[in-house]
Amino acid sequence: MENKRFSKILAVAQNVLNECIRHKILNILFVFALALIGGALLIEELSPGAQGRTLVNVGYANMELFGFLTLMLSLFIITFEEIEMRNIWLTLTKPVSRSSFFTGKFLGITFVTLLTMAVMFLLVMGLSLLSRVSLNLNYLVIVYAMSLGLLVTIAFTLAFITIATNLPTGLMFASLLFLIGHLTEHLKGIIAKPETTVPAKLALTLVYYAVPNFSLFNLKDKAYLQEGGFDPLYLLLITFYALVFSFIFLYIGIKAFEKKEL
Amino acid sequence: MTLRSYLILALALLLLVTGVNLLHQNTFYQNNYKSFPFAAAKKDPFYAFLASVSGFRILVADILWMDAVQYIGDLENAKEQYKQLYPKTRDIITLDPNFTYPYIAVSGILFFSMNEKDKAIELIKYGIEQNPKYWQLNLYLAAYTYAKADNIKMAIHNVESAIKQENHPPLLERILGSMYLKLSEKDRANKKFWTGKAVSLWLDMYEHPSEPENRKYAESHLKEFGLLK
Repeated sequence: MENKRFSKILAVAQNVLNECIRHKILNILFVFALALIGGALLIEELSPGAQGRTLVNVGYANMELFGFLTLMLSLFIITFEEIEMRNIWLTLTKPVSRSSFFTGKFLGITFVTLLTMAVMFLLVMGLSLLSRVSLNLNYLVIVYAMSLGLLVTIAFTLAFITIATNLPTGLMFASLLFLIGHLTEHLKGIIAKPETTVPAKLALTLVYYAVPNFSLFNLKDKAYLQEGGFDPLYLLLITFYALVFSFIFLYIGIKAFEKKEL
Repeated sequence: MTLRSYLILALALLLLVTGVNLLHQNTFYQNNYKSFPFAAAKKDPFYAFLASVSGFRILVADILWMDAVQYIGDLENAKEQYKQLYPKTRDIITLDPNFTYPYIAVSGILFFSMNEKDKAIELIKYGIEQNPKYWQLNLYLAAYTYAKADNIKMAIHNVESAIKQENHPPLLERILGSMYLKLSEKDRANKKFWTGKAVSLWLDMYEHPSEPENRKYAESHLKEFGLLK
């Protein structure tokens, strides 16, 4: 029974991947490659003494940006086809539960995003090698942490577009949360200030725990630390954090999707 | 939502809070997730805001470095003695204190071209504080202190710090030996002390040479002092 359920989830995920390829979403990689190579030529001229470092940093920034764009585009196209073109009715008339459908969609988008990230990583590393940047394992760990952040983003975007009455509102809320999530870490500083009132402290603490903290996944800003490699325990903890957050958003999304009138 | 669903969510939230608290106790987190130095970035809060919102702190530092390079390259700015160079560099290292190149390049310009010796030394000292394992900065400080006030003792102290780092060039050890000898001539009252330091360094270089050249160098000096036949 469980095996059947899992194969249905995988079938939905595969369908999402096929649809993304059919809609040429992965063409975004060409734009990425152009931006990266163009940027590399400029950097060579503009950043004497720090060319290698700037090239990698620009690569990471592009990876995060294009990774986010990929998942947003994929979700928009897939959900638009499901809801507006009524494709979802065909799937749900088959013995596929709504929770399996939702989980499959999450897995499919995750796979598309990871695939895009992997190709972009290879491009960045290839270009870095050509520019004689000495690479190490940290570069891979940074992308792993970045992908964890995108995993949480997929989960909450799916939850938002399910709860919201229309697709653009859901995507807009998700994008805002992605932005705010980068500021969550700074709330700690405001909470710690003596002039912050107790009710404000309580409200901010609630927000601190409720909003995903994307700074935790931001290891690209820690790439040049003097201590060397990243702490494996820290990596384990952020993996746990991302998984729990993704589970919460997926669970809320599934419950909302089960009640949603299509 | 059923009671079971609420219970599952409550359990997940409990796990989340536990996870966050465990993260707060993690040493890597405590060392590297300090609050943003907004006070230091007060002069130009736009870049601080941009770096925080986007999560691209070191990329913004790189962009500011490109801006600083353009500033140096523009001859128009020579009219005002490049007075914005130091504040611009402070902005860069506020965002990324581990960006080592601006410390070296800008302190060199400040020291040799703009005669702002104190600022150059202050900048390089801050760099050493932030990057204690980056031995090149110690060398620059040694050069500046020596060039500024003929302070060979301070220069020796900095070269000694540099050779403690694993990846230092072996040549530095030979330079340090010569500096000890020079100081033993200059500081006659402590001649024995400085000669002793040189001898102990040569003995170490002879027994544990970082490269064959160092052993030869140590051997010739030890023979000169009659400590080897």
